[in-house]
Amino acid sequence: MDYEKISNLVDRMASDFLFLSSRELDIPTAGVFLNTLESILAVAGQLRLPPIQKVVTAVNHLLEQIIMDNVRDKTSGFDSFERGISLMQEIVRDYQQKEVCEHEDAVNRYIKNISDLTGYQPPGTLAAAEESAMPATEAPALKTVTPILQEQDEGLLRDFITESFEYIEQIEVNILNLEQNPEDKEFINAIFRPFHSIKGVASFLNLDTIRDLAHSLENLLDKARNGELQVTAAIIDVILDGADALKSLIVQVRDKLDGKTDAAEREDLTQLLERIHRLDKGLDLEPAPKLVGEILLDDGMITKDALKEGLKASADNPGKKLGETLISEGLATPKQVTRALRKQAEHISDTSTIRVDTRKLDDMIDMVGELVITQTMIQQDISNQLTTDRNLMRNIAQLFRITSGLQRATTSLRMIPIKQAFQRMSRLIRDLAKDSGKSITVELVGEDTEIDRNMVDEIYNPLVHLVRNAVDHGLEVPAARIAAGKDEKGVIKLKAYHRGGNIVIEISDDGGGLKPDKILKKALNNSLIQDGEALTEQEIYRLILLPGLSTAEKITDVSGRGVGMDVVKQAVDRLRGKIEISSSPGRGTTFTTSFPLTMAIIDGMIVKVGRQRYILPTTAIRQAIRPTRESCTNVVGKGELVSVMGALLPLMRLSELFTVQTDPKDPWESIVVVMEGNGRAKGLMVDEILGKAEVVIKSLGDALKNIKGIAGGAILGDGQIGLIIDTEGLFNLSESIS
Amino acid sequence: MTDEAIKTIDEKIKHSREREGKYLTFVLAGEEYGIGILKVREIIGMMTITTVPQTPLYVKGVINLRGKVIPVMDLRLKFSMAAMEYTERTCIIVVEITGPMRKIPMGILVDSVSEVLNIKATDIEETPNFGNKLETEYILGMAKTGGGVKILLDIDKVLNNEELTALERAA
Repeated sequence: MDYEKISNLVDRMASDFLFLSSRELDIPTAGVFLNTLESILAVAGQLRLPPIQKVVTAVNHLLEQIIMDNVRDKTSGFDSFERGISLMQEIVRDYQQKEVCEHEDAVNRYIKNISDLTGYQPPGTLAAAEESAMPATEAPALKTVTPILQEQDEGLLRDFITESFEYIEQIEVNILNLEQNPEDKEFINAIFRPFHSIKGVASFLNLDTIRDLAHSLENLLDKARNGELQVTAAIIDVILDGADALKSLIVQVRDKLDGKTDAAEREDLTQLLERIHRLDKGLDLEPAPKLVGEILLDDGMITKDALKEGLKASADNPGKKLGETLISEGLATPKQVTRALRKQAEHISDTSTIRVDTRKLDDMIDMVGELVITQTMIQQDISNQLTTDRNLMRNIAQLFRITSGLQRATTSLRMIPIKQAFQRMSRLIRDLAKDSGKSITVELVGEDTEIDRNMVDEIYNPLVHLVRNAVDHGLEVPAARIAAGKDEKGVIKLKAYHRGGNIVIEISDDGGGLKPDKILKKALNNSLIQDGEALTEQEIYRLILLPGLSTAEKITDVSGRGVGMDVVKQAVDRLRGKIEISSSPGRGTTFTTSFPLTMAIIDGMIVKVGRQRYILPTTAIRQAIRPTRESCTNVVGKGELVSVMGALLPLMRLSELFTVQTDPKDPWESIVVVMEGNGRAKGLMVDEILGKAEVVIKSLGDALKNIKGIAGGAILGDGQIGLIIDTEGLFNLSESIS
Repeated sequence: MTDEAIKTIDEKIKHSREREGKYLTFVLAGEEYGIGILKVREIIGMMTITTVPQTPLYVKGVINLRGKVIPVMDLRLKFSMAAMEYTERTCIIVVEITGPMRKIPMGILVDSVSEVLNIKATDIEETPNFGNKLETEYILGMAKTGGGVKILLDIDKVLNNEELTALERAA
């Protein structure tokens, strides 16, 4: 009979199973297995293979129960599934070799096991199918024929295969650790041991190719362990390739066992072995980080002779490093040496970073967030039970510390230094300087200040605008500078540092400073302010952030025409940032911008309306009040107004805007939060203020994006979702409704 | 038979073959429905749903699925059936809808989940024509099984593209 088809199907299932990433079945994967089982059942029916049919039906049932979540003990469910697959493989192989099945007992045991687990009733249990009776009686007679030795060998081989896969997995995990800590003997050992074990068993089972490969890799690692070889990227590569080769060799062995004749061609290992050999002999080694002397020489900072002299002097003074000697001997300047040292450090640090898909990071941050929530819940449960188990309490407290550390660590993964953005800007300044005929020195301070990866791109544009402004309007032309008694060269300073939860970026120039009288005049002309308003200096400076005010007398192509600071202000607002201006005549201007470190987290106030909770961004809140009856007015047909500190503000009822079911209330029975956005202020009526919180902003998904008045969702302390209010959108919504 | 006729028959067979497979069946107002098992991510019990304003009635809101925020729609309301109080049998089936841009995870609220069924091509019948009034685009076919007729849904089309886009714009 032709068993090829069924054997292929079963093998495919086994290999699918082998490649499962976790020891849990999700529904789609289980679905794929179910479909394969269906095909196996059909073929088994055609071939009349009752044992297979029985096992398939049982496995089928098991999977269905797993999908419906009726299997309490997930691990044993998964194990039973695994056993079912290997049982099918064994039965099919028997049929292929001997045209009979000798596993009747195993089949019955298996079915019994499934019924124990899921309450499974095999079809036709009562009607005892005559088909199954026949092989059951014949089987024991045939069993003795099987050569015992071969069976043992096969068992050993199978054990070896499973073990080896585990070993290789260990190797793969540890090699990644080793790559980060090449000096760590522990990690080398952790890789050495599995290779050693594979070698041992392989030589026992006469698997020569596997033994030889494992042996040579083991040798290589032994040398690394004894410090004879330095672990370099080349060595790590060759070990990984070796592990891959071992894996495919072992797969070949398994395929052979499974009776697959069309096993892939033998891989050519000579090349790999040759590579290992060369590394073993210390050839082909990757250059170790260059020595400081070499770097200096390469960059033409010092001559060969000078280096020789320095090396000699350094050898005489063992306590001193080469760099120090070079400086003290006057062979190189401190600047040159530090530069060379930095270069060396860059080379080393290159190898200690890995690139990770940001989606994976986000998933991890999500999971950690959930971990914190679950932990809080457990903690509450425990404290409700009035337990006095001090050990438990101590462990819980420890867990709390670990999870919060984990949370900090995961959020910091997204952070990168602002260095790159600063360097781009300083290049830009140099280009602009050339174009405008000014000569400028750029000073960068705090380049290592960290900020969210996504945030860097967002803040770049407004910052560039400020930089352009500083070059174009801030700094005077050289002639004017000399006349003012200043250095011909202007200075633009970019400075970054952390303050609170924010990153502060200062852009300052040592130019002529802002001219308050000019700004005032312009603002009056454009009727942005009324005559006679008493404004402080700060307020006057802030006028330049209003649309329609540009003090530039000359329109240049550097800073654009008319559009200017108001655009910057808008961009900064959108990023929930702040901007401050300070200036002193003749001494220069400083723009201090501050942004949240990440757009992923928002500082908010949790409010309650009906049974729903919403989060108002703190940056948009001016104050929260409980209005008096007298301060509220209802303008018929226009809407309600509330008077706050002398100003009449339109009143929005959140329950009406979002059609939340709540008992109708009067404003003086509720709380009014005064919200600001884009120069407008309105009162927002809510039932209750629940508190402040820092929450992670989550999108509501593709299906629910761009809902007016809602910026996203946040998972609150109890695991439920609160919606985050978008102030701008809410204002627009309230206007479109009334 | 003409080539043309053979071709149509071939296509029909192919079409029904494509629909063959495992389905997760569930109950909605006394009727049995099925969704292709490969579309289903997981089944979860009822949990607190946060209402989202300015969305169609059948969008019940969003839930927190292990740190991810996903929308939930009530299939009863989507199919214009009477709303019902949620019971302990009420389930959320998390499916993955192929949207215009990418795959969208979405929860659908059903009365209760029944079982996983294998449905053969021969058991699937074309959707009868109910007249123009009824939208049948999202029905893959009707499956005759031992327990009666089950309506097989094409979950991608239950929310058709216009609705998905409308949801995206949701104003």
